[in-house]
Formats: sequence, C-alpha cells, structure tokens
Amino acid sequence: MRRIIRWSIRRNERGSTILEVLVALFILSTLGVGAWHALGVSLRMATHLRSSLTAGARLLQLDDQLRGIVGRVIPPFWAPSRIVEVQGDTLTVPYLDRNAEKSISMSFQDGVLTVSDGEHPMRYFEFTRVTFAAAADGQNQYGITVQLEADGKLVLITARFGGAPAGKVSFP
Amino acid sequence: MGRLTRAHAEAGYILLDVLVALFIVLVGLTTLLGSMRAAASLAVKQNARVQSMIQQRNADAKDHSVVYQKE
Repeated sequence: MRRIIRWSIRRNERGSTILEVLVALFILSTLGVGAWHALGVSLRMATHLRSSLTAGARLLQLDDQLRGIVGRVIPPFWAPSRIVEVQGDTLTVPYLDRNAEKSISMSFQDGVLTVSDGEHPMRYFEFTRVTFAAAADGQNQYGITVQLEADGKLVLITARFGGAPAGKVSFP
Repeated sequence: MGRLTRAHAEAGYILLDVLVALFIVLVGLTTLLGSMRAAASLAVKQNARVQSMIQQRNADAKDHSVVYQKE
C-alpha cells in the first residue's frame, strides 16, 4: 500500500510537470505572438512619427526660406501696384534685391515645388498640390500667398515683401 | 545567478519561471508602448507648434498696423 501511494505521488508530480510545460508553452506562444504584434505596431508608429516630425521641420524650413526670399523683394515707389505674376503653377515677382531685372520664381511641376532667386533653386518634394496667389490689400499687393497640401492637410503661407517699416500706425 | 538545482525541475517551478518571463516581457512591452505614446504626443505637439508659428507669421504679414513703405 505504501509503495502504491509513493508511485501515485511520483506519477502525479510527473503529470503536473508535463501539464506545466504545456501551459508554459501556451503562455509563451501567446506572449510571442503578442510581442511580435506589439513590436510591429511600434515600428510602424516610429516610422510614422519620424516622417511626421521630418515633415514639420521641412515645412518650417520652407516657411523660413519662403519668407526670407520674398522679404528680399523691395519694389520701388514707381513700381506698379500689381507686380506678382501667376501663370498656372508658376509665380514670378520682380524687384528682387531692389533690382527690376532680378526676380524670384516659384513653380510646382511633377510634384516638385521649386523656389528660386535665380541663383540657388530650392526643391521640395513633400507636397501633393501647391497654389500660388498674390496677397493683396485692395489694389495694393503686399506679398504672396502659397497654399500647400500634404497628406490631406492644408497649410497657407502668406509672406510679405520687404521694405523699410514706417512704424506703427494707430487707428482710431 | 543561482545554480540550477534539482528543485528547479520539480513541479511548480516551470510555470513560475514562465510567469516571471511573462511579467518581464509585459513590463518591457508596456515601457516600449508608453515611450511610443509619449513620442507620439510630442510629435503632435511639435506639429501644432509649427502650425501656430506659421499662422502667427501669416498674421504678422497681414498686420495692417505695420506699414512697409516702398523705396
């Protein structure tokens, strides 16, 4: 009788160990599948975050460069009130660096936005649609407006021509 | 590191080891996903900041209280 009880206990221990191994295998496989899925989600999220941050930085860089180059346009007092020429996907503004023969040009062709001062063209590839227009206050053009579309988001940049600021004007 | 003894192969220890591994992996995954969530929040804030900066610059460019005289 004592021998039978000892055999039974030993048999139960072996059985429970095998059961444990099976349960452990199930847990580990579930854990592996979950970890694989979580890692995939993390990698996708990291890629999306990186592209999002890069797009933001590039947009800010474009904004800086656009305002900088448009700020170099200084029309003389005899210049016509409408100096911005928009033809389709191309924009041209003369009087770059106070020179009537120099001009800035912007174009959007084949998904590439090109901003050029005639010497150093800059190209941007992130945008799906770009629209140019003159920024005007009545008849007087004071700058340009560029509407950019990327990833379904619209960004509007209004850049003003350069010139000497005459100071604040207080309106009643 | 403890020595592998006979006791480790006895009943109850395999499941315990797996549960410890489960806990460690869960802590790791939670940390990873938490970090990603924090990074996503940071990216959203950064993009909102870029948008607000551009809008502020647009408002400055359209500001009628500052007059730019032609030369």
